Amino acid sequence: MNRKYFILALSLVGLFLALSQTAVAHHSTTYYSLEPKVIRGTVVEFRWRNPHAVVVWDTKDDAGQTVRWAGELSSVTTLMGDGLTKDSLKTGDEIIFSVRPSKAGTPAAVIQSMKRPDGTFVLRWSTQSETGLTPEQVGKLRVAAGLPAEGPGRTAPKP
Amino acid sequence: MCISRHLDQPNILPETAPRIRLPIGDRRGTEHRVIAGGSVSSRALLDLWGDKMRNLLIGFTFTLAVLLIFSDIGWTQEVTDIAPGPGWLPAVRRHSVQAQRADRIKYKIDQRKLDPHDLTGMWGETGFGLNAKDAPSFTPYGQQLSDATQADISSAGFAIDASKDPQQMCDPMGFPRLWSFNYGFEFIQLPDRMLQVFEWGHTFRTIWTDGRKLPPNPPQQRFLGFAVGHWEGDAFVVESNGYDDRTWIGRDERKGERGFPHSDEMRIVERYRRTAVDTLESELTIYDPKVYTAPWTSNGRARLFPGTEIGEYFCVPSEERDFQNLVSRPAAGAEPLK
Repeated sequence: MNRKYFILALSLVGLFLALSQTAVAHHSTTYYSLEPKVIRGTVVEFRWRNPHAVVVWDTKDDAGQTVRWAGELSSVTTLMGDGLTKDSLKTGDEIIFSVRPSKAGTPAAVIQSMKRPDGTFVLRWSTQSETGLTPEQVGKLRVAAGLPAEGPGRTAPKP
Repeated sequence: MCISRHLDQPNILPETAPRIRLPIGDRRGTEHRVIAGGSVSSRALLDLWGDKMRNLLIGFTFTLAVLLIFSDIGWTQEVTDIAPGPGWLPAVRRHSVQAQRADRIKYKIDQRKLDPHDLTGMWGETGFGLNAKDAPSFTPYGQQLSDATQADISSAGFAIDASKDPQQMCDPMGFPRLWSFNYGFEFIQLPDRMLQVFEWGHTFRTIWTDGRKLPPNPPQQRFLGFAVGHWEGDAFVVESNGYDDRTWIGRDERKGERGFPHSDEMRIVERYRRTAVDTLESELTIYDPKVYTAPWTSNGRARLFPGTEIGEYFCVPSEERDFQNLVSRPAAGAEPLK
C-alpha cells in the first residue's frame, strides 16, 4: 500500500479509537431529547448537592405564563473539576441555559451549559449531559455547542 | 495496546506508548495524481504542490490525530478545578489537565524510581472498568436474578433507572462495583493491612495482609466483603468473599436497563501491579457458579494523580430522593416518590 494512504488510514483508525468510548455515569439519561433547547430564565434555587446538583429556574412560555424548570448537573466534586463552587449561581441570576429537555415534554432537563447574558460562561460544558450517549452523539452535541468533539469525562467506565 | 485507557488521563504519554516516526521527504513511489474532473489550472496547481507539501500535510494530519488521541487540546483552557484553600489539594475527580501536567513536574514523577511493592498513592479517576461485553452466561438461577433487576417503565414509556438499581438509591455500591467505578481511590499501605479509600461513597475497604485467612463461613454478608492480600512477585493479590448479594456487579445494558447480579457465595480475586511510577494495572476475576456459568475477568489501568486528595462524595439518600422528584422522575414521565 502506498505509504501516504497507509498513514492516512492509520490516522483515521486512531481517531476512531479515540471516539470509541461510551459516556456513562451515575444514572441513565435516555429520557432526555437529543435536540438541545436554549432557555433564558431566572434562577430560583441552586441545589449544590450529591449525587446531583440541580438548578431550578423560572422562564416564560410563548403564552407569557411562568414555567418552572429543573435541570440536573453532575456531582459536586465533578463540578468543582469544572470550575464551579457553591457560589457560582445566586437566586435571581439571569442565565441562558442550553439543555436537553425531557422527551416526555415535562419542564425537566439535563443541563449542557450555562452562561450569563454578557456571554460569560458559568459552565462551559456539563459532562452529565453526555451520560448514556454514544461518542458520536456526544460529538455532535459538543460540536453544535462550539466545542471540540472530544473532552474530559467521556471515558467514564460503567458503574 | 489499550488506547482507550490512556484517554482517561490524556495528558500523559505512558512509557509504553508507541513512538511514531513521521515519513517526511520520502519521494519513492509517489505519484502526481490529478483529481478527477479538475481543470487545467487546478492540475497545474497540483503539480506545483510537490511531494514535500503533501508529506507535510500527511504528517500534520497524523500528528493532529495523535494529539487528539493523547491530549485534550481545545479543552485545556476550559477546565479549572477548585482547591479548598492554601495547603489543601483538589479532589482526584476531574483534576484538570493543566494541573496534572504541573503535578508531574512538581512531584518528579519522571525522576522517581519505581518500587513495584509500593502501591501508595491517589489512583484516579473513574475506576478500572467492567468487562461487560465478556460477561459469562447466566445459570438458570442467575437468569432469575437478572430478570428481577429490570427497571420499571413509566406511564410515558421510559425506563425509571433508579427503580431497581441499589446504587441509584444511594445504597452502598459494594464490591466489585467500586473497583470498576469509583471516582478515584487511595491506597494506604500499612504493615498489617492495605486500606483502599474510595472517593465514591467516601468509604474505605480493609485488605488484611497479616497472614489471616478468609473466613470459611462468613457470619455476615458485607457490602465490601472480607478481603486478605499477599504478594506474588510484583503482584499484590487480593482474595475476598462474604459479599452481600443485594449489590450489583454493575449495569447490564444488553437487554434494557438491568444489573449484573451476584450471590452471597461470590468470591473475587484481584491482582494489582504497579508497572510504572504513574501506572497501576489491575485484573479482577469473579467466581460465582451459582449465578454465572464461568469465571469472569475484567482488566483495567489507573493513573497516579499526585497533587490530589480524597474529597467528599457521599451519595446522600435524601438528596437523591429530592433529585428524583425534582428532575429525573418528571423527565421520565414517572410519578414522584411518596
